[in-house]
This record gives sequence, structure tokens and C-alpha cells, in this order.
Amino acid sequence: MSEPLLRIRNLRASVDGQEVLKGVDLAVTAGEVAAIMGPNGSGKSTLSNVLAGRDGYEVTDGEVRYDGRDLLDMEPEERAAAGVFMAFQYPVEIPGVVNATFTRTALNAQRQARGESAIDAIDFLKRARETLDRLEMDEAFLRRDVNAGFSGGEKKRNEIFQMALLEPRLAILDETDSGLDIDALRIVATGVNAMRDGRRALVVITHYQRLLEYVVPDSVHVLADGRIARSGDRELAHELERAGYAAFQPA
Amino acid sequence: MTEAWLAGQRAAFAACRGALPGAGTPWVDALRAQAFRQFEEDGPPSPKVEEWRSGPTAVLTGQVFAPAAPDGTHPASVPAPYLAGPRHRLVFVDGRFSAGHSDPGELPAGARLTSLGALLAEDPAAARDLVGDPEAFAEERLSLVTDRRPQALVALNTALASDGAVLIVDDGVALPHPVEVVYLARAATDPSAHHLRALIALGAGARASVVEVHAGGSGRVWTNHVTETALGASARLEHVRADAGTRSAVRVDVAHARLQAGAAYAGFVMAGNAGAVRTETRLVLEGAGADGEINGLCLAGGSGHIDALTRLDHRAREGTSRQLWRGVFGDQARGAFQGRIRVLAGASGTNAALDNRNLLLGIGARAESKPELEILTDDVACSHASATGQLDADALFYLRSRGLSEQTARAVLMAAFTGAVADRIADEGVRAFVRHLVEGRLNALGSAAS
Repeated sequence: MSEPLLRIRNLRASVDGQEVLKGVDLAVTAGEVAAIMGPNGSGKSTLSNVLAGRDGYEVTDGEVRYDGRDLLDMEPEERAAAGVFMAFQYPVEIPGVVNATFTRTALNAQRQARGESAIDAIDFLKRARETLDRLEMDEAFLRRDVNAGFSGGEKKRNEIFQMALLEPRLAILDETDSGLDIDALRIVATGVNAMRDGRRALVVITHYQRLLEYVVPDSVHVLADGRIARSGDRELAHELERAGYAAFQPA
Repeated sequence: MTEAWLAGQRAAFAACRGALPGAGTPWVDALRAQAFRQFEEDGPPSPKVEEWRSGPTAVLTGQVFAPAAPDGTHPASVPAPYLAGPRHRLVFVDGRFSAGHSDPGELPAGARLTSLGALLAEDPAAARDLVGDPEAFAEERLSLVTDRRPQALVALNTALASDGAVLIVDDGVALPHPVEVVYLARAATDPSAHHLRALIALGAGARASVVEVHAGGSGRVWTNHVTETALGASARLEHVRADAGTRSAVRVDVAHARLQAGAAYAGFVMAGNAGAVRTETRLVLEGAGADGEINGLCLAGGSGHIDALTRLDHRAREGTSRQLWRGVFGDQARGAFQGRIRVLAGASGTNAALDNRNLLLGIGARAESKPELEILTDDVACSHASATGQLDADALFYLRSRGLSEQTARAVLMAAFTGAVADRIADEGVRAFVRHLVEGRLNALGSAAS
């Protein structure tokens, strides 16, 4: 069996001195879509923030290997250049930075870090338009400031647009389905499913099973009280939908 | 120190008054003498004067800056034109017009672009109404106290002005190209002062764009620059004052404009000297329906210090004004902004807005912001906003998570923070020049801070 693209071993992490992740173990192979489900407070957002490299999270034990490298030792921009993408639960608004400029700067920063040539403005625009078209998004998106004044759904779609454009090898979707209406959910799912080409891996972090109706996972893992409490196939998601997380809540 | 400083100015005035532009013309001599007396009475600005509380007074009086006699040599190099497109260019070196470096180009009939020295030599009568009585710059406070002291350096400038750009445009004439004025200061061995006096007068319905750029300088140079502007009814002026890599000990810059009915003044300040800057803009909306805009960027690093002051007086009805100021301060730099909107009795229907935000890059950097509204009439809409903070950590992380290096992410956020200000410049070529200047300055601040 080949080495997984992402391997988390005994990951322990604290926020403000409080241990939130208490020994997470997870392996995701290239081509796999893994869903991480769990009740509120189970450590889902801490896990995604640690994987993305956000400050304020202290890893006290364990390791995260990505493509044979120590992920936790990499700066956020190094992770991005290595092909890790995080679709955030709450994408930040950046007034004054135009979407097109931002995404082109990001794409070229990643390409430069990988020793690839920069994409010029015309080629970029062509690529961006094609991507927007596929995601049923208006071209005006490119001219707007990054997430500024966007609705919740627009912000999530912008994350998916960036993901589609940046073509990561590992995409982590943090509660991307929250706050989406059914049309937006379908569009987001289209973008996510387009990534499934057998070589990329996706980690879908979610509270509900809703998105998993559209993005059918290969594996489902229940995160409860800072640990993976149970793993299974897509049936586990349905079971959780019926029975809830009660069985995994601390007594 | 103050006594020695005053004595130095006295000696300088005595030594150079006979050789200053207009010497021998009775009204000029009288004006200079009156202005110097006024300066002596009021003394150099000190922190005790409210409007100078956060000004670079210690740097100003730390060396006895005195006007140097022209040395007759030519500078090794003068900056290439800043504006890419067609332009009318005047160059001043160490406070004096340099015909050899200037290229005024072809001006439309009814437009006169010259130097103060030339105007006073050739047509002193034309200058008489344009140069303000030094008393006219006095600060009028809400307490009804009129205080001349804040304008002591304008008085000193009136006494010692050695030169400056002059633009006089007749009624209805529009300049097709912007005017680029370069004030180059060379590095000095002895503490040197350059007192520049520029005059802009646009007749009714006239239009012009004027860019005044400071360059060069050294820790021994003080530039004291006053630009007086008079706009006739419905005249429009875009007026940019900028630092292009200046390294003066201190640069004091005062713009004073009077607007007749329906006139529009769009001012932009880019303060980015390596040393200290005191920049003042005073607009008086005298006629109904005038529009005043003062936008500024204060960009300082190292131990730089930028002290900005604006005074926007609405004296007639239906006037509008906007002020958008952004400050970025790195390292140990200090910034202060005092902006006042005053709506006098009778100026009903006024709409005025002021917005100042500061970004601190270094933990040693400081900025203060003091917006003031004085509203003496009803039926007005005035707003002000002010905030000081650091780069948004969430935004920084978001950009980095997409692959931007920390330095690039910081640069992107700084550009976003300041971008809206330069965007307000109407002339495309001038806007491009200012954006380029700002980008260079922000890069220098960003790389020093990260």
C-alpha cells in the first residue's frame, strides 16, 4: 500500500492552554475523499486551523506528514505552495484588494515557489473566466474586493473558486456547507467533485451530512472530544444523520 | 537654543534681504520687513502652541537653519521628469529657479508659468495681490482668539522666500497638461534653509493640475514651503504635493487656498520624507457651492515624524468637502493628524466628511489622530472617522494561506489600506506617478518592518 498523502499521528493541540485535540490519528490517501464529522466543540475547527498553520494553536505532541514532509514545520505559504488548500469556514473580508489581483498573485506566488513560470494577466484572465463559468459564477466576481460585502454563500463560493484555480493536491474544506442554500451547495459540490481525479485528496470537515449527499466520501471519521472516535464508510454519515452525535458526547 | 536660533534668523535676514527677489520694490521690502517683525514677535513654533503640540519643533530649532547664498554651481544630477506624459516642468535647486533644468513647454494663451523671482523682477504689480499678508494666516480658534503664532513659519517664509513656482491662469483657460514643479535640495554642509513661496491663481472657470515634488536634501536641510492658491468662480485645481525620496531634516509645507463660488480644489499630500514633515492644508470655501478636497498619505519609517494638519473652513452655503487621510508608520516613526472642519454661520447646506486611519507596523511606532468639528450653523451634514491599528492578523494569515509570502501579504494589505487615497487623483498621469511613489515608499517600510 502506498504512503498516504496526509498522515496525522497522535496529534495533540491546545488553545489558550486548554487541550482540544487529544491524540488525533488519520490517514488520507491520494484520490480519497475523507469526511470528518463531529459535534460542536469536538475539535473540528482546531484541527483545520492547525493544518492550515494559523497562529494561536500550540501543538504539544504528535505529527502531521504531508507528502513525506513535516507539515507542522512549514509556514502557511509553504503549505500552499506544496499543494495544501484550506477553504475557510469564515473567509476574511479584505477591502481594497481586488479578487483578480489577489488570486493571480497567489497563483504566481505558488508557481514561483515551485520553480514554475508566472502566468501573465491575459492567460490568467482566460483561466479565471473558465473556472468561473464552470462554477456558474459571474465574471464581476473578479473585479470585486476579496469577500468585501459578500454574502455568506458568495464567500464560500469564492473559496471554491480559489480552490479550483489553485488546483491543490490536498484540499481541506472547513464547514463549507454551513449557511449555503441548495443552489449554492450544488455549485460548491460541482467544484469539489471536479477535484476528484484520483490524484488529489479532499478532507471535508462538516457538522451535517448535507454536503455529503453531493460529495460522496470514501471514508467518514467521527471526531469527538479531540479524538477520532470512529471511522467507517459513507454509511456512517447516514447513521449519524439518523442517530445524531449523542453516542459520542462525553457523559 | 531658541535665542541662538532667532539670532541666526536675524543675521540671515540682514545678510540676504537686499538680494532677495523683489528687493528694492517698496511694497515687497515693506512686506518682508513686516513679516520678519511678526516672526520675531511670535518666535519659532513650540509645543506650547496648540497647533504645533505634536509638530517637529525640536528638530526645527535643533540646528540654526539659515538661507544659504546661491553657490552658482550646477547640481550633478536632477531627477528625470516624474510625470510620464506631456507636462510643463519647472525645476528649483536649493530654493532657486533653475532655467537650465526647466522645460515649461508651450502654454495656452492666458496662462503664465514662471518663478516668483522672475515675476517680482518683471511684473511686481501682478504679484502684489497674490502674496498674502502674513496676518491673514492667523489661526482663528473657536474661543474667538486669533493667534498668529501657529503661522510664524509662514511669516518667516514671507520675509525670506527666495523663489517658488508661479502659475497664473486667466478666466476660462484650461491647461491641457499638468504642471510639474521639482524642488531639489542638495546635501548641505552647514544647516541650510530653503524658503519657497509658490503662487497659484486660477481665474473664473480656469482649470489646471499642479504637482509639486520635493527631492534630495540631507540632515542639514530644512525646507519651508508655502503655496498660496486663489481660485476664481468655478475654477478647478488639482494640487499634489509629494516627497520623492527626500532626506531632509525637516520639511514644512503649507498650502493655503481660497475658493470662490463653485470652485473646486482637489488636494493630495504624499508625505514621505526620511526626516520630519509638517504638512498643513488650509482651505477656505468663501463662495457658495465650492468644493474642497484634501487627501493625504503619511508614510514614515525609521525615526521619521509626520505631523499633518488640515483646516477646512466652510464660509458660504452649499459647500462640500472631503478629507481622506491614511498613515503608515513603521519602526520608531511617529505620526499625528489634526483635522478640523469648521462650518461658519451662514454656511447652511454644507456637506463635509473627514476620515483618518493609521496603520502601525512597528511596535515602536505611534500615531495620534485628532479630528475636530466646529459647527456654527444648522442644516449641515458633517462626519468624521478615525482609527489607529495594526495589520489585520486574520487577513495576513488568509493571504499567506493562499501562498503569498509574509512580506508580499503585508505589502498587499498596505497597498489596500492606502490605495483609495491615490485613486482619488483625477489626472491619470499624476495618479500613476503618485501610485509609483507610494508603492516604492511602502516597499521600503514593509521590508524594514518584517
